[in-house]
Amino acid sequence: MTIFCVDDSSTIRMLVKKALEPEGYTVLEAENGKEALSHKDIAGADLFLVDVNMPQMNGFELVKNIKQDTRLSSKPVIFLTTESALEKKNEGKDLGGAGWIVKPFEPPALIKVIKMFS
Amino acid sequence: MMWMYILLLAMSVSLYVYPNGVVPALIAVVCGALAIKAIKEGRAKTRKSVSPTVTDAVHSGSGMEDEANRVTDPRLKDLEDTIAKNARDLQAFAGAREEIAVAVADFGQAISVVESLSDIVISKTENSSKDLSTSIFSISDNSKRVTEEIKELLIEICKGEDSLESDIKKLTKEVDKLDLVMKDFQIMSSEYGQNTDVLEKNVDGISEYSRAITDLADKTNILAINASIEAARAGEYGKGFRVIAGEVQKLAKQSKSISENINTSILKVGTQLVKSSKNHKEIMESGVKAIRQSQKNLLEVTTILTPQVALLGEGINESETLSSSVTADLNAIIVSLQYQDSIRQILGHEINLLNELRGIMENVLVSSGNGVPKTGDRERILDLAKKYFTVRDEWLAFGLNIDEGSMENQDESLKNVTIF
Ligand SMILES: [Mg+2]
Repeated sequence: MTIFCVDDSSTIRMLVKKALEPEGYTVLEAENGKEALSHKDIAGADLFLVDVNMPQMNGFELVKNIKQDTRLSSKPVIFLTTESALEKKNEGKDLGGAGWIVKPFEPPALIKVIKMFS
Repeated sequence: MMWMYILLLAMSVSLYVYPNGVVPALIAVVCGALAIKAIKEGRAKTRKSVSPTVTDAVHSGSGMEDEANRVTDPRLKDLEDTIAKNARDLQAFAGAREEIAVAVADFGQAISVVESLSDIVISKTENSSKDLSTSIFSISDNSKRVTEEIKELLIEICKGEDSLESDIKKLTKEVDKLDLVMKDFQIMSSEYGQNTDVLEKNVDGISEYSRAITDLADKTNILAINASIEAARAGEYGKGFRVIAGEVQKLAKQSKSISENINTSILKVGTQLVKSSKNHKEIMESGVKAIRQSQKNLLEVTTILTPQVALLGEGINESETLSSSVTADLNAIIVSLQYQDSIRQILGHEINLLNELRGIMENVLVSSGNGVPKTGDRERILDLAKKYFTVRDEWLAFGLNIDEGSMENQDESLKNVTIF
């Protein structure tokens, strides 16, 4: 299963990778929404882990794009962000997000959530 | 009033973030400036309420009449004093406004300095936490691998068909089997002994029997000799009898010699039998002794190995506990490292807040008639900030020279070392 992690923090991307790879997941990375959309392997992603606050293109904009792309629209999107306000969560949900994890994430919790969609 | 709240908020935020920094000082300056502005607005209101009266008074008459009125009317004198005072105040305010404008512009510069310092914090923490995580993960990968290898080895030793545990079980079985063999051996050995006794007795019996035959033969011989003597004495009449006696004598000699042969061979057999049975007994005894010794050795081996296998089993459990505790520690580290992302965002938010504050202050200046805000004196702000710099990267961030003395070391690993 391939997980696409989109986050402007390279540390977070690395930690996601370190948490998921031993579990047998392949992890793709991008620094922001724009970079994610132009990633050559984006169609191979089975699930998106998306940060909200990112420069150039934030997580919400990225999810709008994902939901409009017929290749990607059915892939689950889980927000992984420091944001925890209900209005933001609702915005993510309304955009078609499948879940919301507030950072810092705990690896077992992240894995559990991803397994819900495998 | 709202300005005051915003300023108080800004001040407390900056005091929280930079307890010893430049920013609180600057904010204090700006607070003062805005307080002056508030006073000025109050004065302006007063002026508005006074001015119409003055104008009315000035334009109420003309020429000499006015002059006379001015001299005589004490009210007019008061108004003139007020106008003169207001003019002085206005001049003072103009000076103060100029100072406030400079302070606001400097504040803007200070924000950009703080922004640069925040960038250092961000990049430094990001790099260091990344390096840290890389090393932690490589350590954990290695420890995981080693633990796995140890565990596999222990399992190999302790469990399965070729394991030490099954070897011990086999050994224990062998010991039990040896015990059975030994018992059989002992039974065999004692039966053999009994058989030998019977044989010896039989040999003795046969010897007795052959001695009896010899005796009988001797007696027969004597009888035969006597019979021949009697036959000779009978002369011609005893001729036939003498022949018979001769034959009997021959027979007795033959039977004696046969019996003697039997006796000799039986004795020989008996001696050999006793000898061999003695050997046999010795062999059997030493066999039993050897079996007993090897049984004892095997028992010792299994006694020593059994608790060791149990210890190894504990080792497997311990290595499992260890690896799960490593995983738990790693998860805790993954959580901790993520705070770096939060710190970065919080610093960004502080800068945003400060920038917004600057915007508000600039607007206040514009609306109070100070025109377009100036650009602050970066050099002066940097001089101010430099007082607090203690970290090399702070100097480097602004391209400032920092005198660190001579640190020319040949050894790359000592590049931060100065030997006095
Ligand atoms: Mg972010």
